[in-house]
Amino acid sequence: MALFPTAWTTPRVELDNRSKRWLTFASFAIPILLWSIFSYVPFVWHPQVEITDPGDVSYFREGTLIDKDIYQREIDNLIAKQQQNPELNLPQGNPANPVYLPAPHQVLTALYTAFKTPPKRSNEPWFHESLGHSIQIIAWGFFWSMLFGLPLGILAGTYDATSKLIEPFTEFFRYLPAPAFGALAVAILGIYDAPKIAIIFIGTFFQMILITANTTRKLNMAIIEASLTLGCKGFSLIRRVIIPGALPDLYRDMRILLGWAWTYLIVAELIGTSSGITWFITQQARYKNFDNVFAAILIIGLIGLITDLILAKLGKRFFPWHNAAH
Amino acid sequence: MTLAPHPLTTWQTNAISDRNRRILQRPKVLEISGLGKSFHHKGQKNKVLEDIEFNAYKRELICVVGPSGCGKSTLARMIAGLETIDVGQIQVEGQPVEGPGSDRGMVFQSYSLFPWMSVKENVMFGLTQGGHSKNTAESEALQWIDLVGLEKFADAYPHQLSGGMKQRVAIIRALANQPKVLLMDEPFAALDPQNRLKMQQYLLEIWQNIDITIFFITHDLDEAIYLADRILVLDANPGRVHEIVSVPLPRPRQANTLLDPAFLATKEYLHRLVHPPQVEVDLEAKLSMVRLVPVNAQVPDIF
Repeated sequence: MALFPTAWTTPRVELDNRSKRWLTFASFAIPILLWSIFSYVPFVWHPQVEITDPGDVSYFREGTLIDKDIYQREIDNLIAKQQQNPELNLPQGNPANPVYLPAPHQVLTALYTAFKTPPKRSNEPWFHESLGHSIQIIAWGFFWSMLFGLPLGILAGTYDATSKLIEPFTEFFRYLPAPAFGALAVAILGIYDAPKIAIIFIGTFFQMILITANTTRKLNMAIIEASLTLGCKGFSLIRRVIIPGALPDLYRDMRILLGWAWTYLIVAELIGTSSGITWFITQQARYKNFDNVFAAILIIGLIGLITDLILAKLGKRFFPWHNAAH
Repeated sequence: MTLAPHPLTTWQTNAISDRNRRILQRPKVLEISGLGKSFHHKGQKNKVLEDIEFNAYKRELICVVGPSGCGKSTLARMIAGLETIDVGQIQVEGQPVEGPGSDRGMVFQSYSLFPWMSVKENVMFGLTQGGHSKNTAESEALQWIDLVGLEKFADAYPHQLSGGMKQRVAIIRALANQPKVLLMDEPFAALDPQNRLKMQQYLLEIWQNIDITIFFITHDLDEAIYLADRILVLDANPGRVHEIVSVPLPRPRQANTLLDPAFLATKEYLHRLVHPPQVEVDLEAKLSMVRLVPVNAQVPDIF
């Protein structure tokens, strides 16, 4: 009897629906299970002790977290002293994880309460306002990237001349880390949203040119040659053949690049005045509300995953001919 | 030295040779003179075509055959304007070829339909590109689609069609543009034999009814003989004109043409031109060097 169904171990064979659902479920369930084991099983990890009764240790307070070895040392001390003074009480405590690893249920509650908790000061944004601001930064940065990156990439993918003119410099520039331009962006664009948008732009624009050019180049040459023999050339060729032909693959590229834009977001938001979700995360970390920090990170992940799923579904709707063609 | 009569002349009946003579009196559509082409690969110059001289006449159906690597595809691509010309000249109705243009349609072996367009939009593509209004282009496209019996598929997308249907659409897409020459680069090579024969009959049917000169590249000798008025036989390395064979078969072709003695004789003759006898490897001697069947095999031999 095999350990797995044979379909699971056959290369590049599509699974049945039940297996697919099972594995997709497991792909989320396994990390959550591991997290739960670390959080709820007292003898797994739990390097600290949460004091429930301070006993006669002067600096223990109820609720404080103490490293296990220090806790043990204080108990040993007290036991030694008990021989002279039997009145002394031993402290009590439960194994606990450090404050920076909240348990799943705490994060789950925080996912909800983060939206409900009013900001500490009246001029500070609510969580959903921070989130909205972040999405706005991403949207603008990505919009400017697409506005310039797509046409340049398509040109470079169509003509060897534009490719040779544009790509070598782009190839060089994309290795310059976008966050390195932070100080410069602030000096030129001020401290508010503009430099943040600029960082997202720098982070995605150069990659976008190269990826778009490559995708455009992959368009079946026979299709281009066929349109040439049908009397189509120049701009008309780009508009009627190259763009529609490469569009489904470009659309997929944009989905991937949008994911990259999110990774640049955190750095971008630290530039100038801290803002958006990054401001929320640093603020919450300062108050040691790590459950809120986790909640905020999870929400970024959820937003990314959900937008990608929606875009994938829309892509199937827009380009019904594409996947069926393979 | 006396020239032996061409082995195929015995099959040229009066009617056939008379028709062939009349073809050569028609106006020239395609003139190829002194054409040469080389490709450069890793610093080495590789001559693909050399000194090609050939004329095609109005409404003629030409097939090009030759061993692989003889540059027959390159020749078609050069006529289409998809490859540059090194030396010599190609003229279509007196106009030198300088690049791709709508006067030379082309059908490729790989299905080159636009996958994002419906059948109708594919056929309309060249028409709207040529300046026709959408309405006239559409009604004209529908007539072409009707002609090849695909009216039920006018709004279908290429991925929903069979291989034969796709090539029918590719042919009418090229023809709708009213080119002077239709270039076909092994268009039926990917089809199964039965569909291929059907497509050949389709092509002849269409060709007989419209004003088009067809330049058809193939490696299938049956196909070449069945379709062509004249067959251009190329040599390989470098590609040169070996011979131009007039097919000794009456038109229209019959259902049993493929079994006609004239057909078989032509095939025999072409076969010797295209595939010259090669030194045979003594497979028997080599096989005896390796023990392929164990001594105690359950089936010791296949006879």
